[in-house]
Amino acid sequence: MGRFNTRCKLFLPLAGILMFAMALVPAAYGQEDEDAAYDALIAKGKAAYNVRCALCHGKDGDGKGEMKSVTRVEKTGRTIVVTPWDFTRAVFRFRTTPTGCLPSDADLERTIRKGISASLMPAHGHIDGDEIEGIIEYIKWFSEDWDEFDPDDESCFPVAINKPEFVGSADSIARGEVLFKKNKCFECHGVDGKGDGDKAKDLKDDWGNRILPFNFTTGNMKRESTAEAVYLTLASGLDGTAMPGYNEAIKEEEKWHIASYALKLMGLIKSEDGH
Amino acid sequence: MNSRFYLSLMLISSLVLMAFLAIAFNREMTPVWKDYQTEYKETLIKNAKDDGTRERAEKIQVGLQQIYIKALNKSDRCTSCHAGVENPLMAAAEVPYKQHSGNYLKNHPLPKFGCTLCHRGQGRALNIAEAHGEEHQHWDFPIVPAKYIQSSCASCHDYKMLETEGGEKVAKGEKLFREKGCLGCHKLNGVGGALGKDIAGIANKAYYYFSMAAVVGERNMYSWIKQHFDDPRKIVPESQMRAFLTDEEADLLTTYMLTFRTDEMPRSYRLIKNIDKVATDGKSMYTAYCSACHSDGKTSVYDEIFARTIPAIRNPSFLKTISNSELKRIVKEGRKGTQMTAWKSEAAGLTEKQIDEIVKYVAKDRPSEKSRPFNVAKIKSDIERGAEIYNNRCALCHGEEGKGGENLLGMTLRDSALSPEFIAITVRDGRKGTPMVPFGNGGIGLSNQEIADTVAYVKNLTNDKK
Amino acid sequence: MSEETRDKDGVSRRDFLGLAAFGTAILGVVSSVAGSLRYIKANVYFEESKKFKVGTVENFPIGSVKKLDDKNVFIFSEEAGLFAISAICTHLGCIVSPVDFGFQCPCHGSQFNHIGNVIGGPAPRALEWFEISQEIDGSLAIDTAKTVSQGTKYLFA
Repeated sequence: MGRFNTRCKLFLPLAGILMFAMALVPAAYGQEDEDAAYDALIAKGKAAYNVRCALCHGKDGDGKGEMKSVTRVEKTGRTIVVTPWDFTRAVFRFRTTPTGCLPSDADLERTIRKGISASLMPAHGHIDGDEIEGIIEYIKWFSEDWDEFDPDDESCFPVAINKPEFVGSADSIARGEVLFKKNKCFECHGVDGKGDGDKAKDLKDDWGNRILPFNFTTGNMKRESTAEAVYLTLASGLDGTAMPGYNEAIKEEEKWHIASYALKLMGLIKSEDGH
Repeated sequence: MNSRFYLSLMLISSLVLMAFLAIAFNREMTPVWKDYQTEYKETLIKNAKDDGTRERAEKIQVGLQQIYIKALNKSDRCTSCHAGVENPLMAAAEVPYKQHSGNYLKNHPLPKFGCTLCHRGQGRALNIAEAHGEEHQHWDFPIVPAKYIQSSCASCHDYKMLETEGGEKVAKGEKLFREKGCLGCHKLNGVGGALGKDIAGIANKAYYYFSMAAVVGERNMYSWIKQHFDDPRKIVPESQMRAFLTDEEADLLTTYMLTFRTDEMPRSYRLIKNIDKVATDGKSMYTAYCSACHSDGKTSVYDEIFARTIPAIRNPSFLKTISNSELKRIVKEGRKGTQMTAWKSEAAGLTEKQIDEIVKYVAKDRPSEKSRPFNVAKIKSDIERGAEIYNNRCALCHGEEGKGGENLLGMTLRDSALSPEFIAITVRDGRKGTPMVPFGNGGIGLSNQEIADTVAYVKNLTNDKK
Repeated sequence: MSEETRDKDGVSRRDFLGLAAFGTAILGVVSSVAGSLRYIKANVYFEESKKFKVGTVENFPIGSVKKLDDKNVFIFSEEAGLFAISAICTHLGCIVSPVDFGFQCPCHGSQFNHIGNVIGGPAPRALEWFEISQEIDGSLAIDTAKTVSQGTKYLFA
């Protein structure tokens, strides 16, 4: 990316290689244009971030904005105190990339545009594309980890999503239920998926803060309430939280069965067909 | 041929008729209580320790038993089966021969109280299903399950006495009822909110009053009440009830709710020494009427059931901006478009004085220094500029229409009675302790002019009746 | 059907059916009469029970007289046993009160001696004596539906 390249001022120390330099000129001018465009993008991103994001996420991206926290009471009576995400840690939950990887720009954009309704993060779908692009670039300033991130590294390419036909069928739901038990999902998420499993009370995130497992019966998952979102969560984990990735541990097909069962727990399957 | 056919037809039909008569005769002659009483008598004879007892046992006449209570016009035939209720020799026996547990009958002699006064059920019925009202929906008040039986005590006794003398469950339930703020939404004897159903006389409502479709197990009033505490939306899908109770608490509250009966005891039965007084101090009333939604009122909370954010009404920064008379107006009139009930005497039944007490309690933590005034009227505002600012800054949380709502952090702004100054001060100074941050000079940096523009737009939203 | 079919012992089918019909009719009449007669006496009445418990023997120490106000019965306890006398005057039903010589009615001055015989006033008959029995649980019961002859005293263990 632009900012990691040294600013290169065009000097011509050797007239002898003028021809060579002449050949270089168009490329270097292009480089300078890119740099200027990048600077402008960051400036725009910073301005937009400070207006739109800093209230909650803080001017320095550390999640310590003026707003501090919000409280949400679920229908089952569970109270959740949500604190804004800290970007300085460069750990993100809602990725399509494998666990341990940074998210793709598309991942970040999706979160910004759609918001996280379960956390009461507003959707910002109405704002300009380049403003969002700027915010995404600006967020990357908050941690040096992004410097080492190589977007061309194949091991961090997004996970492929091929939703099979059977997702949502009665058979798939039944298999999912068995897998939910077999993989001990209930230990945290509870037998009924209410997020009240035995281990639920002492879950902590990677920074030692108390966190609560997802209550499926709310029907409102932070990363969209779809089969694909469940699949992605299983495949790539929620980095930073107690939810690990199960890409190897759970077979491809099984992940989709669990997704079916999750949809049922979330009350998103109205009629149980398939019989 | 023809007459032969008719003759045999007649023979067969008369045989069938006779068989029916025989069955009817047999049924009439061998009712279930006869078996129970015979068994009771035989057990007594068999277990008699001395000749006197045996002799008396042998003298027992098997027959229909009835307790008639003139004062209540009740006739209970329960003792036809439950023959040993008064007999200490049957203390260890099985139901229905067993002696009544505890020493209740000592203070409540059968000839005066009978059985159904406390246990309910159908006193005149002579078979088990009808007498107990089990799975027999045409009798609306089946036998009260043992765990709720104390509800009947409250018909004659006051809670102070019940607390210490054998009615602790119903006494606890009564306390819990006020602590959990049930009256915030439900009206009882003329007082309470309007969001939920009026629950006066609920324990005398007919079977068909309750929606039994989702009730598990025995379908009757008792199961319905208990299970609507366990999972309100399972029993009544559109319910907005907030019932976060343990199983035990749900049982206690069920016991208490079963005291809401319409059949009043005659004076000679009632033993109410000091009529129960509902506490009318601000704190108790806040707990009973407000706390179910506002909890302690210190922080605003997004609530999934109401699908909106519930304001922090005891937050100092809120109190700084609002006067007691404005608070009182909101309590009295409620807030349109939200779940906030109008608590005036014509609606939820609180008196002027009670509302004053509640307001005094709510405003207890008001800081001594007031908010810096904001004279909006003096600034010439530009609604279009305000719209731009609103949509850019406010709509994210308050919604584009300013109504707040599902998965939105902000309150509704569409209360025509909120003064422009109140809104302007809130925008400028924010609401410390809630997600509302200051947008004025100390925070985001909107100028007074910009705030006034925004306020003008918000007030305009209110006027527009969308 | 012109010829009558007969059994070996000579009862024609027509006779048999006739007899059976007659017998059934008789049975029907008898049972319905019996049933109707049975209904004359009800199993239970919608009135307070005439029989009521008055507690154990210990409640009545020898030499004591107890009046059950709500039931209008005097219970006397003597060496010879317990006995129950009605407190309802046989004249017009006022409630008599115990006096030195026996009982005195406040309405029209009827007077009764210790065992309830009329010794003055308009009362036509002596005060009634009631049956006392012992229930299975050991408590005593008085049955005002059952009068007993004067002087019937009961001894209980």
